Amino acid sequence: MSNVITIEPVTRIEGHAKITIQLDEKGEVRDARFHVNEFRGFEKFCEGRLMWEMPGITSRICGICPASHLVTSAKAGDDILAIGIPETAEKLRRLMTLGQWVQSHALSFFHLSSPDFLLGFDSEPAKRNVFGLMEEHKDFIRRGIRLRKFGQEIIELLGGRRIHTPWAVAGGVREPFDEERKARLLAWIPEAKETARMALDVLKKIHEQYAHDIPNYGNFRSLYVGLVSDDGGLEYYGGALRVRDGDGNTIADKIDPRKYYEHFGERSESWSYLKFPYYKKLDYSRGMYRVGPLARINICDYIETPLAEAERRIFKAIAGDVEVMNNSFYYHYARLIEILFAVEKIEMLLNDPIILGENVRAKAMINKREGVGVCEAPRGVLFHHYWVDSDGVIKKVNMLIATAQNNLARNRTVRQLAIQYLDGKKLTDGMLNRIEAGIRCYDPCLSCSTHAVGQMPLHVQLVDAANNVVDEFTR
Amino acid sequence: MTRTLVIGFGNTLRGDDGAGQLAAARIAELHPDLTCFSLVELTPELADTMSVYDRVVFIDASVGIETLRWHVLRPSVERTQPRSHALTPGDLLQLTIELFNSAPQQVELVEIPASQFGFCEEMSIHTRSMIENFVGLFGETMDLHAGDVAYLVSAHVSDSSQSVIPSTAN
Repeated sequence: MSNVITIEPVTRIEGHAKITIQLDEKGEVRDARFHVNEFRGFEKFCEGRLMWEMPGITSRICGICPASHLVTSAKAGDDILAIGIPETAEKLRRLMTLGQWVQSHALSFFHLSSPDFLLGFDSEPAKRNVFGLMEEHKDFIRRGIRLRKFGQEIIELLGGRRIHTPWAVAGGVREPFDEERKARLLAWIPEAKETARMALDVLKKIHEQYAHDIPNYGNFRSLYVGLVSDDGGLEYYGGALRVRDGDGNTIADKIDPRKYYEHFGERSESWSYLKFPYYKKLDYSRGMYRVGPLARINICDYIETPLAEAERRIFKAIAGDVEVMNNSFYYHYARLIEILFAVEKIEMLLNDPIILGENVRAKAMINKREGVGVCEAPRGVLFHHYWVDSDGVIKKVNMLIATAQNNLARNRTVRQLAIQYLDGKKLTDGMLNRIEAGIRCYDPCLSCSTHAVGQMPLHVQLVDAANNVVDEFTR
Repeated sequence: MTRTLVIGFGNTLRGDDGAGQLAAARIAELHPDLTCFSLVELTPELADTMSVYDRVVFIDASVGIETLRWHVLRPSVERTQPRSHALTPGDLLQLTIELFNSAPQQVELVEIPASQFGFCEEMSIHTRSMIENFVGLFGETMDLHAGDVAYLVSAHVSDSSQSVIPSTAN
């Protein structure tokens, strides 16, 4: 008879999920799973809506990363119209995508994960949050909040709203940018850059402090997938897909992202509403891949901005000869490099005269019955695939999101941490928090726009082979 | 002049839960000089924004009440242990005070009665009526200084722990 430990809800992530840890009769961890127990069905209820509405509808999937869905959906619309969009529109969409990276990455690092690092995994749970941090790290948390505000302001000033803006549309964007808004955003750059560099300095010290723990946080070989630019640089909006393995070998390159379905499959498991994507050229058991900041830094050959490129080189030196970092704790490191890149690139885009152009939208009829949009969302590569009739009415939708693509790796991370930290005899909050922290490395986004009523407690029981409660923990 | 920020929050895809957003949008229509946000949830960077206003009014949907509730918030009230990215109005007030050393003189939370939370964009008749009721009452507080608003709200206190302006509807 197996015994099961349940952690529910997993805290400081976007959405609702639980972890179960199965023990064998010796009390040792046999398996561990990360379950997503909410169901939303966006793909289904988009059917019958007009293709033109999709950016506005799909941006409602998430309250944290709506701009990524917005831009990706608009790109799928571009594909259905079979047109290229004006250069100004593309650069403005790029600007918004980077604003999304900054605000989402800042939230993940400063607000959700740093309480573990700065207060300690075993610190008092009641204080292990942003309020606890304020007592000793006031400047750090203030800077993090303002960095996120910078990202939000980019989205708001471009889209006219903080979230769920209908600004990006098939063919471009709804309205041009102007000098006044450009000046407001440029004024943020020095502070944002300084905060990004400060965060990297803090994280490097955290790595020294937790050198003993870090090797347990999802440390295994997998594939890495993401977009790279035509010459292999870090990409976030265009480019082609690259697949690199855990030994640093590029096993597929220049994949047309619109043909993603030829390369990636999805498997369902009875115990989770979240699917399990895998790389089809291998099989399900070997096709596990990771996306997001760690994957993007692992697969790119360079970063086009100087400060971020310098940090990427340090990161690669830590990774060693294979130049691929296989440890999921380094998602945080990669995330901060990406913030630095985003701030530098935002400055470059804002200083590009083309973003003030007046021509921001191309118009066309429905020219294709199928379209795919692809973008690098903060958590990884995002695909929107629409099928329409001749009037542009949606017949079918497939969305492949980053959080799903990391599902296999995230489950393996949970298992690795459970084996390392649980002994089947005694539960402590610190043990369970380390397992949750393994999940937070991936910054999963489990559809946070659905309002939950009430708050679920955390209650864990450790049950022996004879079904006796050996230990019990409530938070 | 009192610098006022209105923040309505909730999910407009879950029926009455969107009451806060709709109320903030209605106030923005009627009072274009005010800063009004309609949001799905409250996130930390709002603390920085709040720090430069005199008066901040949060509007949310609330289950189990029949009439409007209008609270004056204090930092120690409503503070939670945040388990995700979303915060309460009390959390935000606390963040504003502790991190930005400047808090609004007056922070209020208005609860709008809500009962239907299905997957739809329609709100119940009662909730819509309460939104309009609140929007009208809010207009009466527009020209008051923060301290006077506190007086107006406290003048209707029904118990010591909760400041309430009874609805004039029903």
